[in-house]
Order: sequence, then C-alpha cells, then structure tokens
Amino acid sequence: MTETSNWLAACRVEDAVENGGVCVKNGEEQIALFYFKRRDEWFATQNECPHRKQMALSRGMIGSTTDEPKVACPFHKKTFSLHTGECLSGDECAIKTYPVKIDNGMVYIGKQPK
Amino acid sequence: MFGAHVNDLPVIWEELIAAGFESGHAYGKALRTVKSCVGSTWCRFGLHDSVSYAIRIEERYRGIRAPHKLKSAVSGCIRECAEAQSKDFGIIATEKGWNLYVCGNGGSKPQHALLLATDLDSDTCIKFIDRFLMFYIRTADPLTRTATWLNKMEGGIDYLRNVIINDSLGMAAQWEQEMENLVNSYKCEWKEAIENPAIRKRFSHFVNAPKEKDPTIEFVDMRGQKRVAEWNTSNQI
Repeated sequence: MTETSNWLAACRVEDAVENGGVCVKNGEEQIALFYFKRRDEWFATQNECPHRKQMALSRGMIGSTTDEPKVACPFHKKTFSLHTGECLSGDECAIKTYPVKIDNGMVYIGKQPK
Repeated sequence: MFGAHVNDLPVIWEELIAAGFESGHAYGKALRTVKSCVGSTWCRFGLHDSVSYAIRIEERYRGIRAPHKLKSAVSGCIRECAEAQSKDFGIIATEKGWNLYVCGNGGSKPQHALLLATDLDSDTCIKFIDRFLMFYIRTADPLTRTATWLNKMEGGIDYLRNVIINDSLGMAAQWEQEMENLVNSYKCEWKEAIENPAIRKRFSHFVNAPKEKDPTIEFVDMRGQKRVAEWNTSNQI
C-alpha cells in the first residue's frame, strides 16, 4: 500500500517525542518530525534553521497561536508555521515542509517537500 | 559540556555518575551550585565554616524547580568574598551566627539583596530559607527572578519579612512541610537519564540512526582546544 519510492519510513510512532520533535535522517537530508499529542497531528519540516544554518529545529519548542501550529528554533526563537513553513517572527526565508502519514504504527514522511 | 555531541552526553554522564558526580542543574530553573568563600577552616578572617554551610544548603535545595534559576552563596565574614549580596538568597557570617539576605540578582540590571534577618543560628536560617523559597515558588510569575518579584511586591521587603519571620500569612508550617517533601524526593536526573532507556534514547541526533552523530557539526582549533566553527553571521569581527 505504501510505495517506498515516495515515502520514507521514518520511525515507529512510539519513537517520536510527544509534543516535541525528533530528527530523521534521509540520506544527506535532515528532517524534523513533530507530534502534537492532544490533537494527534504530525508535521515535518527541514531540520536546518535558515537563520544561522544550524540543524536545530527538531529540538525546538512547538505550540500554536490561533490554530497556527508553529515551531520555535531553540537558538534564537525564530518561529515558523508548521503548515506553510513561513517564518512568523522575522524575515527569514520559509522552511520546507513535508507530508506525514501514519500506517500500522509506523510514521512515513513524504520525500518531496510540499 | 562544550564541544560534546548530544550522543556523547549519556556516555560522559555514565563516567561522571560512576565517579560520584551529580547534575549541577545549570540548565534548569533551579538552584545553581552554591558559592562560598574559604571560611574559618583556612582564612584568618573567617568567623564560621562557610564551606560546610554552603554544602548543606546546596544538598538541601538541589534540583528543586522554581519560577527561575536560583543562585546562592555563603560568606564567612563581612568582606564577602562569596558575593552573597548579589544572590537570590545570600548568607553572611556574623560573630553570633548568620545574616540572611534575599532577592539579589545579577544580569543586565544588577540589584543587591536586602537584609531579611540577623544573627540566625544555622537551623533557623534554613527554616527561613525554606519559607522564602516556597513563597517565591508559589507566588512569582513564570520566568521572574527574585529581584523582580520583590520589586513588584506590595509592601516590599517589610512585607516579605513579616511573611517569612512573623508568619503573617499563616503559611509557614505548610511551606516547611512542602519543602521537606521536595528535599526528601530528590533524585539526580542525569543518573535517571542514563539508567532509564526511554529517557536515554532521546540523546541521539537521528531517531532512525541513533549511533550516528550530526555530520554537519564542524570543529576548529582555538588555543590548542577544539571549538565549533563560526556560524554564518555578518557580525564577525
């Protein structure tokens, strides 16, 4: 059912962090995978923060204001929408976002950015 | 742990724990290590053993989470080599006992601590600190240091003194009990982190390649030691 060419098997659901992020390796790429427990929602973005080019977003704080889920980079607290990747707190460029799906207890991340 | 990869941390802490070290909570909104001067053991001016008292304070309040970090110090005399007056709670030896100062902060707007009580014996000083800390923990806004908390407190230091020493709110017994519970439930969280697989596995960079370190981290040499290469920034001088 899941074509392995389009989807990366990232990890098991229980390996993800509740209300936080983990970093997934896909070849040379690093992808941040976020899980909002109460809403049972998953998001994936590039792990690199465009501000100072550090691989840190997966360790950021997640939350939402007025229904917009977002992540704040732990270094300088730049925030990015988890829906669109747009930078909400300044004029950094947007981050790439990827589709996520769960199948049979496994988390899959789409290999092509949205 | 400057220069350590996140994967290295549990390995490092395993060695440290085995050698008898414990977390210093430098990352936490909690008590930092308590500073002291050399004290009466070795200093000609020392009125009391500030080192032992500082250790007693540190071992009592370590790990307790608070609205913000807590810093403390014990000085063995008025010369104040431990700089207790810049601390959230600071203790200075007198001939007859200890003076307790509270609500000092450093940072961008330093403020000296104010005298709460004088000539206390060691046990009474600790009792007042128990009450002071619980009052702070229970009533301060999040991320508010003690100086700001006191600055916003109606009645200021006089009110605070009344609450702590005269028990004007009638809360002292409850606070002392609550503090006793906190003290009795202390565990070193780094020891727990290395022993609990669910916590330990969070200390890897890739969830799907837990033994691999972040390949993008680059170290360079500085004074014969390693440091991370400069980040991309236009402010380099």
